[in-house]
Amino acid sequence: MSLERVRRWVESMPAAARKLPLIHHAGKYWTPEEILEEVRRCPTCPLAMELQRMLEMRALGQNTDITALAKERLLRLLEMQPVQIVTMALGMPAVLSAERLKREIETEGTLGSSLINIEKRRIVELISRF
Amino acid sequence: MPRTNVLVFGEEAYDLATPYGSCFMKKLAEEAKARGKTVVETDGDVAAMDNAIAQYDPAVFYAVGHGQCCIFTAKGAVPYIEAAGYSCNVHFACDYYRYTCTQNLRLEKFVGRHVHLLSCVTGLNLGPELVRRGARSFIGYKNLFVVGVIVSGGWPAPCTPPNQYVDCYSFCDSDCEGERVIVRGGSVGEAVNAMRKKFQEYIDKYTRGEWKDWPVAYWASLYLQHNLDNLVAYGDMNFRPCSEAVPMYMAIPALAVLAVPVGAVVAEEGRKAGLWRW
Repeated sequence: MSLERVRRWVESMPAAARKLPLIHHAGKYWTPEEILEEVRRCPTCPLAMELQRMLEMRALGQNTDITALAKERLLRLLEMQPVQIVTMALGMPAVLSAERLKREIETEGTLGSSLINIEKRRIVELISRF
Repeated sequence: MPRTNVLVFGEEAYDLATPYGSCFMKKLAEEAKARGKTVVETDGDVAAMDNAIAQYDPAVFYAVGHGQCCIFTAKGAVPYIEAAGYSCNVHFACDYYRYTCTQNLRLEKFVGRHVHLLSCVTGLNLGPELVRRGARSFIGYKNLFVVGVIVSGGWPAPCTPPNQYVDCYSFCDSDCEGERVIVRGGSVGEAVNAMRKKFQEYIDKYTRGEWKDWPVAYWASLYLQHNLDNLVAYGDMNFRPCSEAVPMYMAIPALAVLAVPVGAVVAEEGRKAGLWRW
């Protein structure tokens, strides 16, 4: 385990993913950038060692509700990078605003639940990259 | 019996979303014609599509338009294909969109044909119903089809390649990949696999590749994955609506050059033998 390995792992992921909560430890969710910062600050401190151990084990943290985490990540992403989409559904607006997408994710609607499921797979994939 | 190597396209382009799909169809039509296929391009109007199908009896019907679980609409959101007895419920952002299909419309017009609808949700009930009624195969989506995403700036012109802030290209390009394979002589099963591969190529660019740090990257990858997850195909996956991949004269350009003198010799010999005169 090394700072270099954590750095490579963080750089392997999309820029936005580096700023999204991923691992739950010591009462908070840690983003990949925060984990890297902690390992850089004090690589041999218990906190950095534990975070690296969790990455080694592909562990998201005790009692992590992956559905809630996926939802939280999508809402955080929407705050960081508001997005609009175009669809071709009959009877629905063609352009769906960031505000509507936020409600869609919060209420786990037709599209929101699909995004949450994709994000759950994405979480597992991102941690597996370590 | 629908005619092999004959395709009818419904290139609807009357609102913000549909031109992003029809732009790729126009390009595909050029390629198909160059390969010797008969392609009838319509603007997605009801009468134009009806006439094209009646007159040309195509093996392939590929169209872009708005849809729901049991209905596909033509230009101007006019119902075009519909299967009665289904009720579509979409819960979106606290709003409930419901569409109940009450009539059977043109289901029998697609018997023996390959139908590909670039549209939302038609893969849920309409596609299976078309195949039950005799369509040879169907490709579509069983959830909302996302056409494009934007995080900054304005909506781009159709067929504009993606950039850091907007992608209204990869989504329909991945869809069109299926019919490219069909036009080149592939089976429906091969077409669906090619679409999956194309979606995945774009997802990989956004999650691991050269586009991963673009502001639009994470959202684009999520919505491409959403489309990929909801891509469905029914019917005969071995069906090849275009039997020959490339005309022989295109595959071996020398044959085209040789064809002229050989043709002249054959003509002259035939004339000498009294088979014909001019």
